[in-house]
Amino acid sequence: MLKKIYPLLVIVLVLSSCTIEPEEFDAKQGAADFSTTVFIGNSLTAGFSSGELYKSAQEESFPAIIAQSMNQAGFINQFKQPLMPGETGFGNRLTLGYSTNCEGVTDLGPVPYSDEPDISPAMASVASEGPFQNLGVPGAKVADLITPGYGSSAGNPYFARFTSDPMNTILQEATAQNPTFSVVWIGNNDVLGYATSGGTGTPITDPVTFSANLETVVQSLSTDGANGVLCNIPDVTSTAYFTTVPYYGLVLDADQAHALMESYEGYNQLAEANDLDPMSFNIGPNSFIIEDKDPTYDPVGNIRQIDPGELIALEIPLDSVTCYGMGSATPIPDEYVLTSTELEDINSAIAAYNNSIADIADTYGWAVTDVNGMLADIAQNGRRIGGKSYSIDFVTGGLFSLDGIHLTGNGNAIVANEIIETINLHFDAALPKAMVNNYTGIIYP
Amino acid sequence: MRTTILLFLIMASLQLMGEGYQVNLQGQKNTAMGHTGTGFIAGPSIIHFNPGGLGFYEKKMAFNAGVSLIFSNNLYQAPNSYYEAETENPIGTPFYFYGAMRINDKMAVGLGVNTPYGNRLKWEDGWAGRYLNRDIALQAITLQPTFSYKITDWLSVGAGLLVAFNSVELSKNIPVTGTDGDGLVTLEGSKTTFGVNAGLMFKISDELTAGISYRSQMKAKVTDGTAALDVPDALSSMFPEETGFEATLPFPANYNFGLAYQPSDKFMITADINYVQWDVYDSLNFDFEENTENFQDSYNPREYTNSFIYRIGAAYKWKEEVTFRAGAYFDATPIDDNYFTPETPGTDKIGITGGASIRPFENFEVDVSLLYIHGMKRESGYEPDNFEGTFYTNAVIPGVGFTYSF
Repeated sequence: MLKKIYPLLVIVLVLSSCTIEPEEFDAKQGAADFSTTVFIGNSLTAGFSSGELYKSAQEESFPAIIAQSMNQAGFINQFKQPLMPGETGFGNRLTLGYSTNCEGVTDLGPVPYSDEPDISPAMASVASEGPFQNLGVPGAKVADLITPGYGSSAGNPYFARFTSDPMNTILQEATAQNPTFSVVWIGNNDVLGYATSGGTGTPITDPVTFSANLETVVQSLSTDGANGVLCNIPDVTSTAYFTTVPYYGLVLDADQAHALMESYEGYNQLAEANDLDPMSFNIGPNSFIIEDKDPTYDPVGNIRQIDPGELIALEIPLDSVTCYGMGSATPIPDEYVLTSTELEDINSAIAAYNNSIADIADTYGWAVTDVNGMLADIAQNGRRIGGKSYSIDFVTGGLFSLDGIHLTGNGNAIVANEIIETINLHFDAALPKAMVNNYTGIIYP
Repeated sequence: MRTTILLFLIMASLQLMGEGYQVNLQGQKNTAMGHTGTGFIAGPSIIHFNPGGLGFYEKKMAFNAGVSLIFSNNLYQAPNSYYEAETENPIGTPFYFYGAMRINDKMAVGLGVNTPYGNRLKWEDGWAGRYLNRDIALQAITLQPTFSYKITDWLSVGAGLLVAFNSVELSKNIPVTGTDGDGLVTLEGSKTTFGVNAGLMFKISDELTAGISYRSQMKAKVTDGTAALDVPDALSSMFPEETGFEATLPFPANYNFGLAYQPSDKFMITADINYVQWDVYDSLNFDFEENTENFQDSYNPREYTNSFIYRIGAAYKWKEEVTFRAGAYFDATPIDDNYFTPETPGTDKIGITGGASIRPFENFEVDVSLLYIHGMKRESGYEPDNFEGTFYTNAVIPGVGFTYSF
């Protein structure tokens, strides 16, 4: 009897070892040539995250994710990033942890990652390991891409540590490699430097200058039929940085509201005389008091209550608000506030930049990734991916890192997939997509 | 042999084998013939296939026990990606036991113990669908005392009471990540349910028999389930550590129609159609005892639709003590394209079967069967979670059974 079962057992063993042979994804380059692909941009391109540039974040930069896709398909010859030596970078990295505020309340929030910044190795040049295909330099504006000396000791330390020659421009570092394809996302700092300083820092780059400089870059990168993709600039209201602290965050009880009404009685008389809005305080949430250097508010000492739609930066010192009267007894300083006038300037600049980006891409046959539209959509509707919900909410949204403006690994993968999608569409290519949930997000202690 | 069966009972664990979470491996002779059996008597397994046929079963007393070994593969392929994930393949071992006894010329009684529903899967750690499902173990061990009465020489009726001991355990990751990885929730529950299995068998002529049977639906209303949660320390105040839950898992009704044509003593062909009322499975909802802002009751649409299974089989008696069998079936999936979950990755399936029976002694028979299941490649997903991809599945299932009768 056993002998008769043997053949059956053999069949069973053979069949049970037979695995599924799925039809593999069929990648193609289409009209593009990804063999030498370079990535040009600022901190977003570099892989900056949670306030710092560090190794594990660079490894999940959106260029790294796109390059991995190109590499899986066998299309890219080489992809190297100027990796930082470790996990602390210049020492500004944030992590989620507990801190105790001025009232003695301990809560979860961004705290410094390490007491031991690794500054000197971070400064050491890694140029000998080049050339690098991720040429993202934190802080870079469009003009910096074509500024000789930007990588010198007087320039940008992030670029200085990997440029092959201190007098080379970022663009030269790219063109020296004869790139066949480029991914360029630049211009965020041209408004962001102004925006994140509450309109007090470096002025917004003139859209005409922006356009001319960007065209210089794209023209150089289009040599010999090369092309690429340009990413546009997202609205500041699509970031956690400007949407986390509410304008009506001044919560008062009856005594406090009464006391503030009394102390601003003189202000309200002046305001009335100058045809400006008076201040008012009620029990419950109220609009913060802010500094506004616009001459309109000169007669009332350049302070007023914030209007709905005006934005407060994530970096506002919360202890000053909680315990020392910032936003009530004293105004929130200008540098933490985007007033409606400043927002108008920012929005019109972004709109002009995005028009230039679309026009230049069209002229040179490049694709455009509408990061602005994508983030606006996520800000509005959130995005659910494989059972995980992403939003622009600070910490819990999973898209923005702990600095509120740079992305998590998950966020970078979402951007990478958006770029891949536009490349595929524009060049009739088929690059594989990244698995968003398999990258790093916010880590809770 | 007794210890062997005992061992199988202890090991008893099931795996997705019919579509949905129905297990169609309830008799090796039947399995070898495309799992037909409503219209003819393959042996004591008629207790499961059609209790009405038991009245025609001629043995004074018969015992039949068997077990199958399920080697299955499930593969997920992400859309527009090289990403793939597979299930680890715990070997499923559904079993059955039937005992039948004739009381007099008209009446017969029987007892069945089997596992008509079940599902067991474990996806690889950290896979892309981990927020939907990590693993599941569902089983329904069913007892069926049965009575059958032969009204005339051409008609017999019968019915059995189904007592099912159901248990389910499943886990999935929670999308909050700590230094040790994602959070995890594990749900466990059990419930005993009751139902009926009833049927009629007709002897239309010496060559032709037919049968109709009905197995009722059962709804396992778990009222004392437990949900255990593991989340990063910082979030421990936002999730309960352990809480109870209520949930209902339905087992669908089956309507079965079978025919058997036996032109000679040596040869028989059979056909069955099963109509499975999967539309009872419209959603899987968990009502948790303790809710927090981040841990709400969960409502999960399933939207299954009723489905048909078409089966054919044949048997050829080569010698008095050796019979060969073969068959095939087509099992249409009840699962909607937009509500396809990785916990039950069903697709339309084709089964090809074969087997043999050997009778080494007068009253003792050994049955072997082999079933190969080919699942059709399927591009589907679970829309509420925006999870989609291409799913592949196949399985090889050898089985062995023993019959002792006189």
